[in-house]
Amino acid sequence: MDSKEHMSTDPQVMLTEWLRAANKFWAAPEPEKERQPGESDRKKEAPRSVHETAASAMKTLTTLFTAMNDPLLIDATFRGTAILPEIMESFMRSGTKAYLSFQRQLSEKVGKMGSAPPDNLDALQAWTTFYEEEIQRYFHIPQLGLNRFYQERFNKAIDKYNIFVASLTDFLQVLQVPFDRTTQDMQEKIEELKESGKLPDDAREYYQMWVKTLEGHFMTLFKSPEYIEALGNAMGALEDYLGARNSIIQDLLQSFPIPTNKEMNDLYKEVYLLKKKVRELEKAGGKE
Amino acid sequence: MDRPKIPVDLIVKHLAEEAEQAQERAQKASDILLGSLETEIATTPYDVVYEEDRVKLKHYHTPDTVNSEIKTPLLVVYALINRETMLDLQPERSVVKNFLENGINLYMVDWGYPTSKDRFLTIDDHVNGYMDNMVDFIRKREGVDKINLMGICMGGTFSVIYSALHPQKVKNLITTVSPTNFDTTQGLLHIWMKWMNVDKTIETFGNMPGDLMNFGFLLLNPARLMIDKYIGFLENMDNKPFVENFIRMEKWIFDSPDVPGETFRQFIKDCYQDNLLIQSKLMVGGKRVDLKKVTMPLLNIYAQYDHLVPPGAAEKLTSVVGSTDTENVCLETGHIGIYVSSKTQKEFAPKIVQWLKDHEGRFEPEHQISPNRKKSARARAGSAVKKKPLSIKRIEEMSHAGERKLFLDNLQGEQGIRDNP
Repeated sequence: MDSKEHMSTDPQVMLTEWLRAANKFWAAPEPEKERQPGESDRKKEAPRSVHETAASAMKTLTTLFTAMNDPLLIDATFRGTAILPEIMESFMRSGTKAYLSFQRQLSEKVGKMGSAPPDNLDALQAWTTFYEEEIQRYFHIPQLGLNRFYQERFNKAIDKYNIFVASLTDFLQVLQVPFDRTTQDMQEKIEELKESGKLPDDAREYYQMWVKTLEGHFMTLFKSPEYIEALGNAMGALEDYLGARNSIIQDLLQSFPIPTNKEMNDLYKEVYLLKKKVRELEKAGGKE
Repeated sequence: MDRPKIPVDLIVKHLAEEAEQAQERAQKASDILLGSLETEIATTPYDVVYEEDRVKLKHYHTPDTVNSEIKTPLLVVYALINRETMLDLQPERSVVKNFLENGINLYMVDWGYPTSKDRFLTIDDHVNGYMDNMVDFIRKREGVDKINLMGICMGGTFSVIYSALHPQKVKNLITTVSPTNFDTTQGLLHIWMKWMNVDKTIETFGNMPGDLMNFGFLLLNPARLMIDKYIGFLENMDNKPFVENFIRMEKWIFDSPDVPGETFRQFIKDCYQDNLLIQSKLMVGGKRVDLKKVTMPLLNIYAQYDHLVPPGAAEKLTSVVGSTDTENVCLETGHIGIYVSSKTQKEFAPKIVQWLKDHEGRFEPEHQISPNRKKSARARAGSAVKKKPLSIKRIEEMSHAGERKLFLDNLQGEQGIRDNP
């Protein structure tokens, strides 16, 4: 290798030189150690085996490096390197595009969240709609691989929990209605009593008036379809969530040496049926 | 000078007085709450004479001094919701004690606390299993062919089913606040149960959780049961007997066993949603429950202000059974007040005792009974029977009318309108 070649900064020259040096280094055989007197046969065999393995590995590497040292291959590699900026640009372009698309989607979703709900929807309904249309679908993305069922059940539980919280909030809002109406009614009643000069001077009477009005509003509410629907939704959502949560617990319990609910239920059913059969037989035997 | 329209001075004066009273009350209340309180319930002595799984049969000790005219033993079947201890809540308001003092040989079912292993038990298992075994046990123990059967709420429904399936073992049947006709909109429970997805509920919970049911019962009247009841307690917490009774009732109300899942499912679907029992279409253990087979004398007691089992859900029974000796009695109280309010202590148990005495030892083949008896049964019950039950609107109006005295009586007796079965 001349000094010019040695000093070259051309990557092709540098790589060729590096490969040649590496080839020489790995190709040089390791000198065999002399056997020491008194070494057992087993010990004698061990270093030879290691050496053979190392030699075999070096041989493979030498072959590989020799192949890599082929000028044609090096040329192809460097032709590839020459187009690297182009590839990088392509990567960057698609990456940026995906990022911008994601940003756009995100800002659209956030924008929807911030926009005023339609007149017929309150904030809770708006959130529920937003959740169902924009977020919920992410929990329904099909999962892949060995853990897919576990992951799906986990996602389902989160989804059901979110729905339950929304339904419960809605139900509590409905329960709040009688209190709001009672407050309004009380204002009007007090106004009337004030006008007629019949305002009670005992605080207990105000309380009685309040509680009776509240009771009336609750009774009206409880018979309304809105209440029944809200109660039904809250109960249904609670049951869905508990069912999904139980599935996760079931998964967790499987890794412990304790029976799961499902296993116990199967057992209970078997015991139940057996007991029933035994009693029937006993009764039949008694009759005979 | 004219008096101002808002008597601020008087209001402030009263508030100051009340604050002073509250201070005194709190002082006295702390002495009461920190002292010893008698809040035990179900203190009347009994023996457990039969046990099967979680179910026990109690037999109460009859006082030696009592010379009874009623020889036939009485089996009381309570609901699967809440506990039978309600019949023996406090010594001076105890249906159990009243019965014993009148010489009734009293047995009572304690359904116990169902666990997960009981979730598959059906109405058939309760009626044709546990109940039938207990009836057989009593018949054998007492050396009688038939017993008197009394059911409470859902236990009454079970008793009707039992009597239809095993009429040969029941001498007289008494149903108290027992729902048999579920096609009514008088009670909120009847409205709510129509939409209930009971399959999903049982799938989720296994057994129907007692706490969940309790929450539902509280929601029937939150203004009274979650607010006013405790305001009432605060106002009376310097009154030791009131506090003791209040705590007894709290103990009972929130002692709610779960209901076995399959039984609950069948009860809601077949009864509340499809109303099969009153139409004699209900199937239990593969047999049709034909109410025409209820041929023994029947006393049907219900409560006028019962919003869990409104009169419309209870009173129709007497018109569809096969028996010609039936009687409807409607008492002016609520679902629990019928057993524990001071007022009905003088009506409820004495009425049953007298009716049992009247029917003890009497055997009349059906063809000998006057056809007018059925018709005159209402009249015999006297003023207590209301031919036309109040509408729910009227009940609400009365409730809204705020009869504070009645309500406070209820607080002591049944804690307001909270009327568990």
